[in-house]
Amino acid sequence: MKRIIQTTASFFLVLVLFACGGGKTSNITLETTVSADGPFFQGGNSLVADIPLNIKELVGDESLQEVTSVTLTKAVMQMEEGALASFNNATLQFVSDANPMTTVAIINPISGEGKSVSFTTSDEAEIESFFNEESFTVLLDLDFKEDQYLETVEAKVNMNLTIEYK
Amino acid sequence: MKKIISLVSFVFVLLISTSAFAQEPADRLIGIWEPSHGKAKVKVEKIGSKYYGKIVWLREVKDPETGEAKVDKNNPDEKMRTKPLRGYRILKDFQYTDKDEWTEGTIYDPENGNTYNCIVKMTDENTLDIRGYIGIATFGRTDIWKRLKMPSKKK
Repeated sequence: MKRIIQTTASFFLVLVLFACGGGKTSNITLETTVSADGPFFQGGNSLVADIPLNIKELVGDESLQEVTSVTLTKAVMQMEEGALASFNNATLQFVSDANPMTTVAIINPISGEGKSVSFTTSDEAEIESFFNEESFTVLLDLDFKEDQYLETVEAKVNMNLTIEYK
Repeated sequence: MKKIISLVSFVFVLLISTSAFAQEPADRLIGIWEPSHGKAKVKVEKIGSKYYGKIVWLREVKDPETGEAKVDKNNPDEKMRTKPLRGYRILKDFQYTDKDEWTEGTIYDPENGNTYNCIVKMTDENTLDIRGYIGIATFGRTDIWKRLKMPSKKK
């Protein structure tokens, strides 16, 4: 009886190891600058940036075949000193021709102090399909407190991502 | 001769102005629309090659329970529940077909946190049939949205 239990346990252990053995993980940082041309009116205005992707280069593994999971672990927005005070809140989204617009992080409210502010990242956003494409668009919706007659508004967005792939 | 030149110039100017103001059929969806319940106004815009609609006006700006600006409190993702409803994109990822229809998109109902497949049909220039459904379009609900028209200035 003991032998049967041992054999069964070994079988399951091998099965679990086999199932988990195929994947690799890499932590990367993606940095981009989103921008839009003014004038800007009170309420939501969209800042965008196209992200060309070479995922093999990003994770540093030429053997990568497919991205199986991506988690946004941290996202930070940086602007010029004092600029953050102009906004109520922000929503960070990914979008592409092949994938639906997906909200990945939000800040509400935005603290007007300092030059940078951290987003609350989504636990449920499914974003791996964006990383199997050659490019996608990052869209930052900024809620302006009042009209601003500026030529351009820019924000630097840094994203820490955990990439699982095979 | 002078008459011919004038005529040619007139036709040329007419052609230029017509092409400049001609609107892509797909872009007719762009504008501000009001659902039948009248609680919100939705601005449709084009991002990339697809169409999106966000709430730009709410009849009731503040949540009566909290006294604060309304947020997406029914979002299935708990961490996203502080996202404000004003500015929320409830229509997403619509693509134009050649039958006055925009398909492949979704509509989000902030009142229950559900997202439905959606087909938008323009029945006339100022009226949309918005059909939300789960699975197949036969089993769904249609709402009629009206384009918000700006009052013209009288001289």
